[in-house]
Amino acid sequence: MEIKIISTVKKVNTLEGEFTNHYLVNGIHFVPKDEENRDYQKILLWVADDNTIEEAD
Amino acid sequence: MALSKIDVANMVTGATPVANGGTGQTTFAAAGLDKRPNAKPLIINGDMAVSQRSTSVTGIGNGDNGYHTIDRFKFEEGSTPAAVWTMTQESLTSGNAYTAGFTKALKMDCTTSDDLSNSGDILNVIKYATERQDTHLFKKGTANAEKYTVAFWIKATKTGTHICELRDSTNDRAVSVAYTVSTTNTWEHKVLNFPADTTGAIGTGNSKGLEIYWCLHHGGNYGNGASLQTAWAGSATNKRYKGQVNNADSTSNNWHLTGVQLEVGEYSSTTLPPFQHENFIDNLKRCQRYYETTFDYGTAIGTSTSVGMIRSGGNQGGRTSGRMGHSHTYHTLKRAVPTVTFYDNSGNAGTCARIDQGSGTGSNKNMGVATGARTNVQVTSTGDSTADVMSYHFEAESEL
Repeated sequence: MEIKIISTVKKVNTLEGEFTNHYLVNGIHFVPKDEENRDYQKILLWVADDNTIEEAD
Repeated sequence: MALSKIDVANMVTGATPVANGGTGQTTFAAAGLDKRPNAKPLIINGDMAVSQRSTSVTGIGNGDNGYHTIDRFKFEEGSTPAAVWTMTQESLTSGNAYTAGFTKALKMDCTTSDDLSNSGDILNVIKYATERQDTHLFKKGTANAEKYTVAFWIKATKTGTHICELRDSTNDRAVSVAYTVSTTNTWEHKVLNFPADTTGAIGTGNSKGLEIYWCLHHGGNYGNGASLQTAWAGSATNKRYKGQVNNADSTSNNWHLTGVQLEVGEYSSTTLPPFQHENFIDNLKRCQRYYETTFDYGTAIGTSTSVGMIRSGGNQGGRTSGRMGHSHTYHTLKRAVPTVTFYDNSGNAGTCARIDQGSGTGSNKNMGVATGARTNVQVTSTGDSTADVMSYHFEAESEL
């Protein structure tokens, strides 16, 4: 499923509180922190537009 | 069935042996088989056979950049085009492309027209992208740089000038070639020659390398330059698609593409090597480097179904309402660590099913990635209803 518009981005941690290197986008997509991933590139642009990544629960 | 005749003489001379005295290509050289520096076709899914995501998507327009139907072929738009399309994997049963060996095609059906009155930066294109590491055989950016041949079958309602463009995204260099669609709604084979480029090495690695663009329609800013950019140079936006007809000026318009091949060197319609058909599974496996799903082939993503779902097996600790985990190895090494989207048995995105064997299946349960790699994904359901098995669909996307 294409991520057309980013509404929310939240860090995903393990139960032990370690960052999984993934972000939860729009509550359903797990996007890796990998600069070769085009969805991560969209997150970087979204952040550059003054949006903020939420911390993990 | 036994062969009644094998042409031994041709085998000795290196020609293609012909069963039962049929007509074949006479030599490997004539067929171009000794000219390719690569064993597999450079273009993956050039015959449009694989369409994992869907076979038809309606309403593709403004804001719909992405891969919708045919694997590896992307719809891109610029600015706020009014045009809306239905993108389909079309089955062929007749016509010149069919008799040339193709049974599938990419079809763009214009369902909302665009008269370009809001012109400017409007753009609709179909794009194919290679990885950098797969393009160095063109020796781009060296003194030995090779020419490019892009060949394809096209059928368009709009006759006249159409534009195909090669782009080197590493160095932001581009070159365009114009071709003519002569007869409306008729399959025509086009063989386009692009010059070599001794400037700008594309490099290696899995990033975007060489890109092929087919323009559907564009605003003035993509074509109001003095001339089409027919030599490699830094990309000049206003020269990219100069002269391109507007495929979106009527809802009666269709645009079809298949048989896409990219060859090293300069070929004509008579010297072009034959299209390298791959069997369906080889083709699918190459596509799965960029996209993979557990939904059964031909089943729409997000369908309410348990067919194809992954099951974790019994939970080692027995039934639990706590954390459950599982690992899935992808069919092939992904280009990059993929974006993963999970679905439960009811088609709810972002969730899994937790199954209490003997009691039933709970849908819409907590689901996440524990670790992700190019080789596999480790998943976790961190606590929800009591269960001893977790089950899920996924799609993993690592396209360019």
